[in-house]
Amino acid sequence: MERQQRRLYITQLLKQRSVDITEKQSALLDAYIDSEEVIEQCRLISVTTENLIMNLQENIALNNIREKLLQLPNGTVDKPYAQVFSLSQYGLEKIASFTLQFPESLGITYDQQTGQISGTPLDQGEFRVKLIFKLTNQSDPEKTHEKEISFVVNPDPKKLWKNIPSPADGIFWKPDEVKDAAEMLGHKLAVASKRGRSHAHEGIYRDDDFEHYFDAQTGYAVIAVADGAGSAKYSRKGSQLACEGVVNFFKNIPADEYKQLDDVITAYHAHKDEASKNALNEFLTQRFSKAPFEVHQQLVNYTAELAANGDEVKLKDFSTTLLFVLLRRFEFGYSVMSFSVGDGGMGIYRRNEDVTLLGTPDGGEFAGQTRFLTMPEIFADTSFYKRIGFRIVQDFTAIVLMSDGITDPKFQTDANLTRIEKWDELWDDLCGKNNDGVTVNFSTENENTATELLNWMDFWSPGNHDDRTIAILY
Amino acid sequence: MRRLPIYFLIDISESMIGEPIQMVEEGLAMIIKALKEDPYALETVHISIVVFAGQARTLVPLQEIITFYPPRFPIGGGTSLGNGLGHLMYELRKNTIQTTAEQKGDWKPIVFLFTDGVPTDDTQVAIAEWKKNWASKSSMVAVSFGEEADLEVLQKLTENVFMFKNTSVNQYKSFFKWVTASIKSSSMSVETGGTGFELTKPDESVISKLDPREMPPKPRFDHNFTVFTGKCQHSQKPYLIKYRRTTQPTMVGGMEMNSLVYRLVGAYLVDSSYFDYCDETGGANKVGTDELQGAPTCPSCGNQYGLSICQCGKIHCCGNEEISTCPWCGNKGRYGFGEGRMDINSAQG
Repeated sequence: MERQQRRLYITQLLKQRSVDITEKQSALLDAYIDSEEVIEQCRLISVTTENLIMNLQENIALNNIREKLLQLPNGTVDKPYAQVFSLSQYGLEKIASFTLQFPESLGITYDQQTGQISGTPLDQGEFRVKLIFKLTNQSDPEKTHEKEISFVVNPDPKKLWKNIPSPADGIFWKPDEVKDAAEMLGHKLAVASKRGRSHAHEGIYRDDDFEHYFDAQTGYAVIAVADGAGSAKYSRKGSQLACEGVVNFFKNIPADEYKQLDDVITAYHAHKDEASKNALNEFLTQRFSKAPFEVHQQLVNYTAELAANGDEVKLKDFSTTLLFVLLRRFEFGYSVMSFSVGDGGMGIYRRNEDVTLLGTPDGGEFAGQTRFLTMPEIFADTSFYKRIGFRIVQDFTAIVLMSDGITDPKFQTDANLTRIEKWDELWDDLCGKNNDGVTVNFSTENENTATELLNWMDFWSPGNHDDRTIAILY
Repeated sequence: MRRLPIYFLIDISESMIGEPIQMVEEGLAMIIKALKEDPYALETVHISIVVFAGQARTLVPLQEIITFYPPRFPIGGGTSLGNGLGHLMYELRKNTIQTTAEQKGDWKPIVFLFTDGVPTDDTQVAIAEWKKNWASKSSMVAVSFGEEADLEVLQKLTENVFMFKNTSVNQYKSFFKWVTASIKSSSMSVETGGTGFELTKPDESVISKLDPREMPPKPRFDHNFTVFTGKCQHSQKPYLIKYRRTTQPTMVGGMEMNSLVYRLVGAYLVDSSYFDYCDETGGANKVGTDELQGAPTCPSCGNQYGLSICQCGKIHCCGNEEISTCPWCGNKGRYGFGEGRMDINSAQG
């Protein structure tokens, strides 16, 4: 302290303590404040006060930093993590220097030079990262302070899904995944059906099913795909019975009746007049449309049989959707008759050309609002006939039948099902344009198309983990 | 992918200070942690947190669980449910993806409303708008924290009104487990073709559903708690002093009567965001100092007397210093112990 300051300090001190000083004593004070003892004591006071203030400021600054809630953006286990860490982004101004210390085995490091946090988290959970720092203008330049920052590493969503086999001794058990291949109409058929992740996670059954049949003698082929309702307890059996029922129905049509049908179709193709149209309509409504009705009736009878044996079952327990086509190759092209009840989709696809959608999916605004084969009202309604379709096409890249486990992730909406771009995307996806590097080779020489198709069905789509079934005639 | 949006509309009025808000903070963190381990929820559930006191804000914008990290909850003055609902509807309007021909929209949003008080504003307009535009397009679960919330108002909003007895840590745990389980089953339901809103069965001793046909009992008091706002002389930081309302028998003219007293719960520091959430228009209730039992120390600087009242009527802390400066009005003065009764303004709660 300067002499002037010393004098001021001591006179203020005396005043505060109510010690009065006379003129005479004032001279004495002047001498006193120049004594070595007072000079030293004043210096100490000055240093102490400075330290006090500095400590207080340091404490406030530290306190403010410690009170701040700091969190690093979340990481995901096994996924590369990169973030730049800067003080300003957290509003930490009073820090002179710092470093970050991550738990050793986590696999994440901080580069002080670049400010980059990087690495791949090896473990999931909430971790404490140490921020070790020095304050600007701190009294002890060597001292470091610590603050903990929380860092969350999320689990890999794919690894959360368990794959529990369905109980093989359970009632109406069927394999969790199946595939099949066949030759028909000079084409090949690959078909695969796989339990969805949501079912695998719970260890419950696959509800989807399929069936196919080709009679070389008559030249007619049938392909059916069905999706049992998730909410119905025996829908896995329902879908199975529906597919089998359809195939059996067409197997039982006598060969000469198919001959008549050949003539009806050929005449229709040649003339397209009222008479040939009516003949075709007659077949569709009187004969073809009996297939879904007969299968419905079989389900009714089956339920009644079980109930008669004392089982507590209702028709609703076998709720299932059903899509099927009856195909025949002619010299002028292919005839395609189709029927659909419920969601999913089927179409005649010509790559980069067009798609002919067979049937409109019964979708509501909310899931679970679809229609099922087990509902008697679908037959009562005149809209029943809208479920039946007939087409003659020259050629195709593929005729595809799929359950909503495929259409939901790949098409999202029913409107998209009519768009050729979406079908081209699906075809490219099948042919290898996907993140998983899975390719289905549709060359007729390939023996493994169905297996590849089954692998392809493992594709990842967040929130879409329903059973998946797809049948492709190519 | 279709999102399942979950909104939390949380009352952060002063009466929530202390254990309730800390429990909500921990509860939300617990919910998120549990949902992260559930594959259904992790992929479909999106979460947003809207808080309200006198004012309402979005504390966490709608986001997927994977990017979410638990926030720190602020505290404010007032219980403006009208503002809270208004802000929630703003968020719903802004965020909800509608189903179009090109894409599938969100599942029906689910709203969890937690409140412990009686609205301090007019809720009619907001409730009317809610009923008109959102009641059928979302599912709301209103939870009364303790018995003091205005159940009649909650029943106007939704048929899902629950009473939560929030008196112990275990009850909070059980409550948040129920919320978590309900979110999980809802997210599973959307994937398996259900309606997307499935509350699981709660532990009846902790959470009970109110029958919409029964008129709820009127709350005995407006609030279970009374709260005062103080400021530290040294740090200038605001803090809240919380008292629980209770009755105690007293002899009045030879007759035993129950008189109302306030027992100290504690004093809690809040950050300056407190004033952002306060409703400035609301009036305050007066409480007499002779009804208060116990006085806190300053939660900021540790001063002995946390409940010193300046001439301006505001509260600050006092220590051994001879001259105190009121951090509210700047008035300097010496403090002694007051005699008799003094009325002080309580916060709105």
